[in-house]
Amino acid sequence: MTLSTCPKGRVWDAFVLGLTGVDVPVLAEHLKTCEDCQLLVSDRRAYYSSLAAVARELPTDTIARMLPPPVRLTPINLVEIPSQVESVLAAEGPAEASTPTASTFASEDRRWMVKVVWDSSTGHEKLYLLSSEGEPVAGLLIRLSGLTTDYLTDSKGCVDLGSARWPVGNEPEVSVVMPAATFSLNVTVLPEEVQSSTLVRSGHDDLLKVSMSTTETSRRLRLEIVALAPDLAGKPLRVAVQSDNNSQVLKLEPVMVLDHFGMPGTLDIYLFA
Amino acid sequence: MISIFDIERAAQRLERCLAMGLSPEVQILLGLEFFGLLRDASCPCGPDSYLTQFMPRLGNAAALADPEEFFPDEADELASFAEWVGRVGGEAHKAAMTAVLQVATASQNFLSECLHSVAADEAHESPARGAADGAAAVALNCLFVEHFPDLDLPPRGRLLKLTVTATRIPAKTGSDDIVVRNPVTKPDDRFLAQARDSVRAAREYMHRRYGLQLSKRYRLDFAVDSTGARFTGDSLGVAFAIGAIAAVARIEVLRERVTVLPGAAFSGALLVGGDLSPVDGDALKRKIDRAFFSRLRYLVVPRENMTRAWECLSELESRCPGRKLELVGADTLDTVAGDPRVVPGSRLSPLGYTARRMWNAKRAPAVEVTALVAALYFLLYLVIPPRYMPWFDRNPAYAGFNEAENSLEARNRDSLLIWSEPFQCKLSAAGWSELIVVRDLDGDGMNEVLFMPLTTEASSQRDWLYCFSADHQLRFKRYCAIRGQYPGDTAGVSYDPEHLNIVSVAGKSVIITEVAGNSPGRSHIRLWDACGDSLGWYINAGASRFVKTQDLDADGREELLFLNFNNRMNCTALLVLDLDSNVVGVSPPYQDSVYDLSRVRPGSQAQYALFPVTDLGKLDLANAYNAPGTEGVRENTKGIINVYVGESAHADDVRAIYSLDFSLRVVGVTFSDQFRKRRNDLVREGRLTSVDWSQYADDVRDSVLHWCSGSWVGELQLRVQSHP
Repeated sequence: MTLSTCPKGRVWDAFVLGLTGVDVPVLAEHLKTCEDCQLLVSDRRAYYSSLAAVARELPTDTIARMLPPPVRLTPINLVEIPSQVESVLAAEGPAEASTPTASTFASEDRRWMVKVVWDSSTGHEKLYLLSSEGEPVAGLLIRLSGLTTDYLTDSKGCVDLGSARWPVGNEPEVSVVMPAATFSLNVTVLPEEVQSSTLVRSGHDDLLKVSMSTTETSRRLRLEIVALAPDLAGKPLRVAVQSDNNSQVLKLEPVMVLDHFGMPGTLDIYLFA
Repeated sequence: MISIFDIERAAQRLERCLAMGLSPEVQILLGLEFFGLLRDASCPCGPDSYLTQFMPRLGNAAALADPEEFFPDEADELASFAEWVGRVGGEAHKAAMTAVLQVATASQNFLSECLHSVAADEAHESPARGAADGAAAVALNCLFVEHFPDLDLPPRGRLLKLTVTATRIPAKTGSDDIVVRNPVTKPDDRFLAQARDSVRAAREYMHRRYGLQLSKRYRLDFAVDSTGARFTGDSLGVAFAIGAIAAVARIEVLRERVTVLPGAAFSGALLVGGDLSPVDGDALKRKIDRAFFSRLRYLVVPRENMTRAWECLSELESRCPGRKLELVGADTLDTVAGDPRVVPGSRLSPLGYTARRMWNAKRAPAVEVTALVAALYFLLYLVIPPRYMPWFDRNPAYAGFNEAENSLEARNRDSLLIWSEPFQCKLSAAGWSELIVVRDLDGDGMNEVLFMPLTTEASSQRDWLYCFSADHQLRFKRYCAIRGQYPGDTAGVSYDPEHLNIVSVAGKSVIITEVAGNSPGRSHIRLWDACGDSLGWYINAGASRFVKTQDLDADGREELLFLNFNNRMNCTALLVLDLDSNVVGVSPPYQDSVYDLSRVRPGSQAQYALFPVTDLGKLDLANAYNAPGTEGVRENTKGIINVYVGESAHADDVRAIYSLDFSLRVVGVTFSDQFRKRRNDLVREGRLTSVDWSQYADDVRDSVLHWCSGSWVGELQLRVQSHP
C-alpha cells in the first residue's frame, strides 16, 4: 500500500516517537521516496533527540532543599464581647440575631491565618489563607481535619470548599503544606496538535515532562516524572496542577493523565511532600 | 504597619456587633468603620475574605436603612465605600454594592435637598415623616441622642416620630391612664416617669388656658417608632406634653384647634411644674446636628441652652449657608404650647364653638335631632359620595392601579370607586394588569381582590401576594418566592412578580403566583388555596407562564399547564403539574456547566417536555432560545393540544406548532405560513437547504425531548420503543 498524499506533521511525530496508532511500514515506504517528508522527519528526530539530551544532561542532585513540615493552624478568638450588652433603656430590637459566618485559625507563630467564611451568595464555604508577612499565598496545599480531600489555594490564597461544611469536630485544625517543587509554564507554548512534550524543571532540578493533546471537547494533560532530586525520590508525594480555571490534587504516579483540563493560559504544577 | 491579626480582631468585633440586633444604619456605620480600617491600613492581606464575610449583611442592612438617618460625611463615605467595593469586589458583591450605593445616593440627594433653603421652606407645609393617619392620633418629631459605649461609636442624634392618641375613660378612674409603647423595658423606667410628669403638666396647662376640667380622665397612648434604637427617655418630656395637648384637643371642644407643625421638633425634659430643664451640652450639639441635616424648620430647645445652641447652629450655617433652621427657645410648657410657629392654633367662631359644645355635651336632644336630620339630608343628597349610600354596589368588579396615588383601587361594575389601598413602595405603572385578579374565592357572592405589587425598588412589599376582601379587609398576604432551593436564592435577593392567575381545579379555586429572578434565570411558582394555604411550590429553570388547565389523565381533576423557557437547556418547555401529587421541587436539568445544581431538589412535575430550536431558529432568533408563542397552548381538536413556539425574531407569527396528545406524545408538527415563507427566503439566500416539508416536520417532531426517570428521552426514542 502506498500513500497518495504526504502524512500530516503529527503523524510523523508519532512515527518518530514510536507511538501506537500509525502504520509504520506504510510510512517507512513513503519516506523512501518523498524528499519533503524525509526533511521533516529528520528535523523532528533532531528536535526530540535534543530534548532527550537535555533530560540526560541535567544533574539531579544539584541543590539540597529544605522540606518544611506542614504548618498547623488552630482556632483563635481575638475578641471577648458579652453577647448581651446592657444598654440604656434600649428599645426592643429585631428578634432575629444573625449567626456568625466565619471561623478563624492561626499558626502558633502568628505567621499564617486562615479564615473559613460562608459565602451566602453562592452557598459555598470558602477558605482564605492570609500571611502576616505578605508572603505569597498561592499554590499552597490545604488539609482540613476531618476531611480527606486536599485543596490548593488559588492566586488570592482562596479555596472554594463547595458545599462541604467545615469546621467539623471538637478540635478543628488546618494544615498548610509548602510546595517542595514548583513548575510553571504557559500552556500556549505547548504544541497542541501532537502528543509532543516539553520538559520543565523546578528550582531544585526536579524534571517533569508535560504533554497535552486536544480532543473535540477538552484537553488532556499528561505528566511524566523524568527525574526527582534525591531528597524527594521514594517519598510519597502529592502533585497539584492549577490552570486559570481549574485545579486538581493527585497522588504522584510516574505517569499521570488529567482529562478536561482547561483553556490556554498559565499552568502551575506543584509537588508536595 | 497594622497586622492581619489587628484586622481580624476588628472583624471579630464587627461580627459580634452585627449579631446584636442594632438598627441597620448603625450596622452600616460599623461596617464603614471596619472597612475604612482595612482600606487605610497598609495590611499585607487582601479584602476578599472580609468582603465575603460581611458584604451580604451590609447589603441587607443598606436595603433596610433609612437614607435620612445619615450625615453628609457618612453619606459621602458610603458612596466612596460602594465605589471601592465595586472596584475590588467584582461581580461577587455587586448586589450588596448596589444596595449600599442606592442608600448612599438617596442619602446624598436627601441632604442636598434639605440644605437648600427653598426645600427647607417647603418642609413647613409637608406632613411630618410618617405622620399618623388616624383621626385621633397626633404625630410629632422628637430628637434623641443614641449612645453606643460598647461599640466605640460616638453618640449620634436621631429624629424619631412620636405618635399620641387620646381617648376618654370614665371619670371615676383615679388618674389618667398612660401607656408608653416600644421603649419601655421595665414599669418604673424613666420613659414612663417622664410621660406621667408631662401629662400632668399638660393637663394643668389645658385647665389654665382652656378651662378643661382636671377631673376628666383620659387614656393617653404614646408610641415611639424606635426599633433598634438606644436612647434615654427624659428628652421626650416636651414632646410628650405637646403631643398630649394636641391629642386631647382632638377629642374635646376647645376654643382653639390645636395642631403641631410637621416641620417642628421638640427636645428637652419637662418638670412636673411645667418648666423645661436644660439639655446636656454634648447632647444638645448632637441634636442640633441631626435637626440641621433633616427636613425640620424649627427646633424647640430649653432657653438655658440657647447660647450654646446658637454657637452650634452658627458653626453649621457657616458650613452650609443655604440651610436655615430656626431655634425656638422656651423655659416653660406655656411658652412652647403658645408659640404659633410650632403649635399653631386657629380660634373657633363663637357660634361654631357653641354648636360643637352642645353637640359634644349632648344636652339639647331637640337641637341634636334637628341638626341630625338636616345633616342627613345634605349628606344624602349633596355631600356624601355615592359609595356611602346603602344601595351602593360594594362588590368589586374591577381593580386597577392608580399611578398618581400609588394605590390599588377596587371599583364596582359601574366603575365607581369602592375602596383604595395605598402602598408604601413605589408601584410600577407597567405590567400590573397581569398581577391583579378580581374573583369570588369563597363563594359568598362578593369578589376578593388579589394583587402582587410590581415595584423595581427594594421593598418589604415586593414579591408578596395580597388578598383583600370586598369590604377592604386584608384576608391574607403570602410571600411568593422560595428561599434556599436554587442557586442565587439567598437573603436579600428580590424577584420580579410576573403572573397571577386563579383557576378552578375540581371545582375549587387555586391561586397561582409566579415571580422570576435572573442569574440564574428561574421562576418561582407557588400554588395556594382560597384561604391562602400552600398547595405546593415549584422552581422552573427559566421564566414561566401558566397557560391553561386540562384534565390530561381523565381523573376528573385538571392538571396545570405552563409554557416556559428552560434557560439551562436553551429552549421552550411545557410543564405539567398535577395537584393530586405533592407539588414540590425544581425543574430539570440537574446538572449545568455554569451553576451547581447538584443539591437542588428534583421536581415532582407530572410531565416536562422540551422543544429544541429548529434550524430556522438557530439562524433567525435574537438569542439562543426559541420562545413560547403568544398563542400558548390550545386544544383545537378534541384530545389534542397545540403548543406554539416562536422561531424567529425577524417576523411575527413564525411558529412551529407541536400537536400533542394527552400523554404529551407529539403526534405531529405543523408550521405557520410565516415560518414556511421565512425558511424559503433563507433557502433562496443560500443560508438553509431546501427540505421536504413532510420529512422536515418528522425531524422536528423527533427532536422533542421528554424528562423520563431522571434523564432526557427523545421523542424518536419513545416512538421506537412504542413501535419497535
